[in-house]
Amino acid sequence: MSDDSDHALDMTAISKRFGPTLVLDDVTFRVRPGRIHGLVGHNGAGKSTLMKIALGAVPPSTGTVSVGGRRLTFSRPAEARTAGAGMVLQELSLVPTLSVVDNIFLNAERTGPFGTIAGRAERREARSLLEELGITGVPPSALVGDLSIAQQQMVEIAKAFRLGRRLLILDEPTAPLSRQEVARLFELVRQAAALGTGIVFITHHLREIFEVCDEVTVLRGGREVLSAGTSETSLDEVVAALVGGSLRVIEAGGTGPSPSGRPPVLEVEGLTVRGKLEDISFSLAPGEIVGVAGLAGSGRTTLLQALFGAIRPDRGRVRLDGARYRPRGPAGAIARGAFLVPEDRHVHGVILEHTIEQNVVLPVLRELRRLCFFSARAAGRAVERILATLDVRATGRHQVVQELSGGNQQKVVFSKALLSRPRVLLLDEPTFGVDVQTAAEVIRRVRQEVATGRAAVWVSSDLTELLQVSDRILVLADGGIRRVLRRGSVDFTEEALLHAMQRAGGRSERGQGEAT
Amino acid sequence: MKARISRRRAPADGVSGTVSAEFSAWLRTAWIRAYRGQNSAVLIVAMLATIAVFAVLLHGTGYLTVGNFVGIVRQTTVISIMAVATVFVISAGEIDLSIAAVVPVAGYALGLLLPRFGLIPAVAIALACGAAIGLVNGLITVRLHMPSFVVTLGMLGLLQGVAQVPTNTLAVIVDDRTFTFIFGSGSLGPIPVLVLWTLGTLVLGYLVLVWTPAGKAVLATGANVNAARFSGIRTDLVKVAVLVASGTAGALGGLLYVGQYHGARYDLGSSDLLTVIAAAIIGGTALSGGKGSVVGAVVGSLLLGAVNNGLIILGLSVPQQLMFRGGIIIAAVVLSSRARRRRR
Repeated sequence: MSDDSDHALDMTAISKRFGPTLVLDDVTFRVRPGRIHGLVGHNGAGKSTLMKIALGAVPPSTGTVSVGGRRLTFSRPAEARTAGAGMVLQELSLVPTLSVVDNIFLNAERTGPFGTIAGRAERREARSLLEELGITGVPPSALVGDLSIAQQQMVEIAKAFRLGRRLLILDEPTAPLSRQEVARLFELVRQAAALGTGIVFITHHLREIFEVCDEVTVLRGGREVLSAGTSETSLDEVVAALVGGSLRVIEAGGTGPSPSGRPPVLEVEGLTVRGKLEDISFSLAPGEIVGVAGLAGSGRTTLLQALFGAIRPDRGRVRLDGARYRPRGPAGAIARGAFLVPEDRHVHGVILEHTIEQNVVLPVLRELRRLCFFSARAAGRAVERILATLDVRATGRHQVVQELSGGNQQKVVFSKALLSRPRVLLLDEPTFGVDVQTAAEVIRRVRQEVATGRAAVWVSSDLTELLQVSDRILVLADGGIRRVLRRGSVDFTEEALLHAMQRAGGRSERGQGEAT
Repeated sequence: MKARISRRRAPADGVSGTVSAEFSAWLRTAWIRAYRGQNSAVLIVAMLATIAVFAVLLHGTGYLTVGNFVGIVRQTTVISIMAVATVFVISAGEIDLSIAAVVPVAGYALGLLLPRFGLIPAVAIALACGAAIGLVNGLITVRLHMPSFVVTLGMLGLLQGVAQVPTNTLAVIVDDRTFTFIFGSGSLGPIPVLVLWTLGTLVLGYLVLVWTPAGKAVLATGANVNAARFSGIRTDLVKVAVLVASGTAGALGGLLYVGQYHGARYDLGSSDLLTVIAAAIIGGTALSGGKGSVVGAVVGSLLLGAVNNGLIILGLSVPQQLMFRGGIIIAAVVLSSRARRRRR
């Protein structure tokens, strides 16, 4: 049983110390061939470090690692790869201007007798590789840049699988995918496992563990706190292990909009962005959180960006607090009292190389001016206050954002939003890629904000979360509102939502309606 | 965990953190960074060492005298001013290759207009020329979504031609006493006006970059233009503004050269572009944008000037000086990009 060769990955008694901090504490993690092993934990729990060790990129302080029965010596970085390990990172590593085949063989080209690339052999091998994994609809000669995100990810998995026949590590593969795409990804993962590969499946979506994994390991604070077959444990148990007993239950139900009589905060009428949004009308009452459900490409991001002035609508009228609202850009929108927490944190949300304070003060630079100079004292006070209320874990407001965990980076984005005291909060996947506790805090804070007579539009692909936070949910598909579900009605359920999204026959491909 | 050394000091009282205190703090952190092999500080220390070597080699030639140092400051005034403007442009994620090409254009504008319109209108028009050139650069960059590298490279060529048109490459002599006093040979008490111009630019640039919302907007735009825009910064306006400032700085450089040489020539400042960019980078401004130091750029300019001055006293020929300077620039770029890679 404990024979190394039984395992695709055998990590025994791994500890890792970075300076004074013990990142991993005596973790044993084994993945059997042909099994899918879920790995969960909060940001900073040690998942990434554990996987870096598994790939031979970082040596452990103590403990041993074997990949496919071969013991790693950590003498050279390619060691784990030659032993048959492959990894798919959250950020795809494909070259968009090269074809699928070229990408799969990138840096591991098949060469002919004169050192030239054996194109035909590569194409043949690529085709059989895609076939083997059951990937259809991805032409090997297509340029990767022309594929949808979901298709690109499949190519990435195929690429990793080509060399990683023993062990395949998938880091949050479902994060950028819509629900339908996730189902297809699961098929792909199961197919890879059926071919005898051991798979590590990292995710924040706990339900996925029970959908696709055979086993699950939970890390908390660098310790392994739960390791069991998925049939022997339950969602509740995993959640309990994850949060360590201090689970903060989010009470269901919004604070509720104030009843009619008070004028709406935001009125949208016939908002249209050619080819992306069609005749959107709704209004936001003070105190209301309106959820927006829809597959990627349904126009949900376009809707928020149009309301934020980042995209100019072609038609439609919007009124904010009763006055005409037609911002020429985000600057104008912020001045009028709208703020967008964007979907892609690293592209639109924060400046990674700058400090927390430098990031947080950006929307309120003018307010922090004394005479004509920027007041560092006023800025420091404001930033400290907001960081304290959001419980941002950092060494201080001068820490560089890059060094923070994903959850704390998201809190920095939130700090920016809250500091500008918006009337309308536009939230695009605000809990994306953050841990359970941060997500709960985000929800709590938005409720607090809204309770003071503001309003929020909340876009999310996590339906459970939408049902939890929204007073009303607009279901978007193909750029139009297909259905509106109200809290309290009998059809305010995940099933009804899913149904509404499907019925509309939304495009499952991303990238068409989701321009930045 | 990596200690952050480049953290800005908490300001004591509002703006009263003096430039000299800032400079000594900057020198200290530069030394620490150099000691750890980080950043372009390596280069500064290397150049300080070179100067020390010169000081020994040139012992007795007056290299290490106050007089020679003031001379270096005067010689590098135009470089320093343009380097400060370049810090803003590069920090905003753009580049202005036409900055030094504005120099002769503004010079001729002044030289030809001064006799006819008088001092103040001539100076104003010359500076406005620079600003207008920057505005054109900026508007093309922003409105047509062109890389400023290409736009200003084109402008560089265009201006080189323009500078030869009004006099057909002949020099224009400027002998207005007031003008040459203010923009060249004058001095207030013991302090030459050129030193004051350097100092003024240093203080102004430092205040704007570090202590105004505009400076923060520039850095944010250069670091991540999307995030800056989504934070309510008018990034297009920022880009146009830095290019206008850069053009104006080039024009001011032109006036200062004319003031020093008592005349305008078409090849004024023709070899300055590389020196200006090198000074900014040596001073710690990241070519990738989002990080800039005005004080560093002036120090970089002075160090380059000091090295050059030493080379001249040593008796190196002009081609040899050019080669040496080119080498320094390559080293600067290599070191600054290495430091960036290491941070990742």
